[in-house]
Amino acid sequence: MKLLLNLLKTPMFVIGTTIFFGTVLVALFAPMMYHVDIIARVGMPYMPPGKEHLLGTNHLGVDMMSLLIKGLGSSLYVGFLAGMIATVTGTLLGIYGGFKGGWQDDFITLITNLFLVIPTFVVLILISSSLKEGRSLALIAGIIGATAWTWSARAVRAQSASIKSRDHIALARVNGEGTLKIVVKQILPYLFSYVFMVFIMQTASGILSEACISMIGLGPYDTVSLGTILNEAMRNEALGDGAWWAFIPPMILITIIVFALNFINTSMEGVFNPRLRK
Amino acid sequence: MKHLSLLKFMVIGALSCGIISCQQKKPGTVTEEGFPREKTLYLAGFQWGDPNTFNPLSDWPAFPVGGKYNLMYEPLVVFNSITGKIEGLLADSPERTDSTISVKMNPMARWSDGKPLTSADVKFTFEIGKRFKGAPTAYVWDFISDITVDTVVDSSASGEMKLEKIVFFINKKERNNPLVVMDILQNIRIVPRHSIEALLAEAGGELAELQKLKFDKDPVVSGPYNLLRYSNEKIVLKRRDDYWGCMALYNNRLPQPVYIIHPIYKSNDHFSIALQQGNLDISATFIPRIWLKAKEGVATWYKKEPFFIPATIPMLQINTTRYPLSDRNVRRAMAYAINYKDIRELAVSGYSPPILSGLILPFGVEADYCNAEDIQKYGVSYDPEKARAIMKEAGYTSVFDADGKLNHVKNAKGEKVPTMSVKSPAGWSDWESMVQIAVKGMRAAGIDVREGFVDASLYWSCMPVGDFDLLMQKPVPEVTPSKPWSRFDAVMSSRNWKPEGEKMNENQGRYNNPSSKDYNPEVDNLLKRIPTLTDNEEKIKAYRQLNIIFMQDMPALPLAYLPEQFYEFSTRNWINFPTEENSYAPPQCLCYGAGTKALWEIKSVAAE
Repeated sequence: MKLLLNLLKTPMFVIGTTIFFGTVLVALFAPMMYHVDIIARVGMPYMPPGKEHLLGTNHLGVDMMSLLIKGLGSSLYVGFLAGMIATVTGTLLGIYGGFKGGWQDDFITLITNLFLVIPTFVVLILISSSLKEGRSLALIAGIIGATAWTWSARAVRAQSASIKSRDHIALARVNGEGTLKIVVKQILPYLFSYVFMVFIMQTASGILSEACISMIGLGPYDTVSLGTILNEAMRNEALGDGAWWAFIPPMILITIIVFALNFINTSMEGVFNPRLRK
Repeated sequence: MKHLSLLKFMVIGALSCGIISCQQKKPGTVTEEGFPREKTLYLAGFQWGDPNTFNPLSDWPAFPVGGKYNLMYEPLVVFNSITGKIEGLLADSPERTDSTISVKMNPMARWSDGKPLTSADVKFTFEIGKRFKGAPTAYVWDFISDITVDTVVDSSASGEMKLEKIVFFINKKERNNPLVVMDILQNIRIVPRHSIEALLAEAGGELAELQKLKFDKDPVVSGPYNLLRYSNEKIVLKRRDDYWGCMALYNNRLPQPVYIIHPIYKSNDHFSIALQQGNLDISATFIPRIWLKAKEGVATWYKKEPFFIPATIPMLQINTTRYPLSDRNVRRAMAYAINYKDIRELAVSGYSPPILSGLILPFGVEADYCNAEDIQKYGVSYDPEKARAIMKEAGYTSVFDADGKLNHVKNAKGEKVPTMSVKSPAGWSDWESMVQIAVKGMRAAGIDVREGFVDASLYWSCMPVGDFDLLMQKPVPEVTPSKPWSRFDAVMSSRNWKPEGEKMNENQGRYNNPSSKDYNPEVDNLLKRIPTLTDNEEKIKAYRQLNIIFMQDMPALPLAYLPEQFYEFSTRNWINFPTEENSYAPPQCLCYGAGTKALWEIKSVAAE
């Protein structure tokens, strides 16, 4: 609680959370107030912003505002899901390896290191391009999560290995508690703030990864994300024809979401890390 | 981790800014090592994949060898779509009798090694098709029965001259089709007998072995340019200053560009940016909203809509052997589900006049055969309700998700109908948009179709063997006097019907299988009869019949009317390109048909 109060005293955290939750609220509630239709054609290609269409239309005459709202939702969803997958996988493997030690730890470390040296973005491209059918948002999130867990695993492993040698763990062992119980009850609480920060960064990284692979044309099918909007704009010469409304708004959205998440993370680090605490 | 995020952020930033910076780069004298800009013509849009072979006898040789280009290998004659006349090249314009078509060889024609280009080369080129079934010229022997050579004496002001006259006998027994024989004279590029015969002997007399040769080291050619070098990024051609045609056809003048470079880009927007920057002089690719690019010196044939001369029909060819596309009802429902107006206005920037059902262009020379009544009665137009009704009536149930997206389709037996995919080359943005709009309409009408954009080289190899559900294509796009017959033939002829997996040059959708119980012999009969008809009334009647069958059976889904080839040029480095006002040559990108002659007429801006 005290930590939360401390956090709320940090202007960086307040700004970050306000912006971030602002975008989440828009993604969740805007469709109730604004008629979102990403299928219907409402005008000519690249109509400039006006009264009827606040942000103009795209190359297929679809309302840009609708696309943005829908795209924002998809991008946040992919980010959250990817962040969740990467954090949960990484944390579980990290804690287990760090706590258990021995050959299990060696094995997990080996796998983690192996994955770390493979350029994940290339793996991401290869996997996405090999999946021709049915690339859904969840699948894209899964692919991103599956390639991004290594950082969390490595960081968490180091932390849990250091906690392992503390007295209360030894005490719990003496009391006959099982590995699972010790991990959940004795180690996780110490790591919680750290894991949460990892989650925030994984989410930001997930949103960017989605935008990246969508931008090069390997994004989800049959739906709209901020990355696919950029990809369509790029391929259909929005820039050449001066249709700034087709690519500037999604770029701004991606930028502010990621900045907000970075703000939150940095401010939390300042509060959670005793050495950085002011 | 932060670094990782930052890195990804920078990737997006760089990708976006990349376009911006490209866009704002000031044009200037962009030169490439060794190729002075004022002597180099950059021309693109013909070669998409990696150039793998320049062998004129292989199936898909790279630019400028192959179907329609005459920069390296030349045809006997070329068709000028602006004047509607057949013009001479290696030979003079053809003379036609009831049973023969003959041309007189140009006695000045020479190969690049100085040897004369004679009737022996012509005969050799055609006869390769007789000797080998796999040769690109094999099909011509369905249409011609024999080739003979006579010597005629031509008396002109400069004296008497002996000329070789080549007589092509129309194959009365087989196809009896003078229209195609005329096309053949324009389509077949003559190859040098003396060099190829030797190579063929070295290959043990096997064409398949010969086809493995790349012909990329100083090949013997007859055209005004020859291959200098090539890579996966570009193909460079160098002018042949000893080209025979300079003396024989162009008053001893040389083509203006010393080099022709064909850069290989991956998608339409690259061409557009390069044109606007002046890094590309001519492009045969789709460029949206061309009127917005006029300020950058990019122009085309017309200054106003439709900007291009519409002449061909891009369509979705349907593999009629695959379920459920084998069901005529599904095909008709598809045709009703497509929003053609959206395709015209959104996908092709209004470059197409409004489309009517059927395979006949309702304007130009084909207009005579296009019957409004038939179209009213049998044709289809955008009507999603009707599409749904047809599907329902045929026993299909479309299952939609709660959010209105199509999930799957079941047939009358309750089985799930396979999802169909539309194969189209990735990066061809106009085709991509057309496919997207068509798919959007079909899915909304409850037909389970998806986009399937594939690499261009894969696309071309899937086409002849029928490895597709639906295939985006533009059959026989060349403007030739044989239209619209050749378009019908390309889509509907089952004369050479082969099962999927074997090559078919026409009707790749395997429509009208002659051994099936639904075979409609009338289609092939009409296709056989039309070329021999001379009476216009008869012709109109036959075309009407054929068009009605097409509209009823829907073996393909026409989407719009587009030009034979897109033709955009930039006036930053070269000027005097053919246009509507300056129509000295047809809009053929200076590398094929009668359009090549513009190479002698364009002017370098720097030299002015």
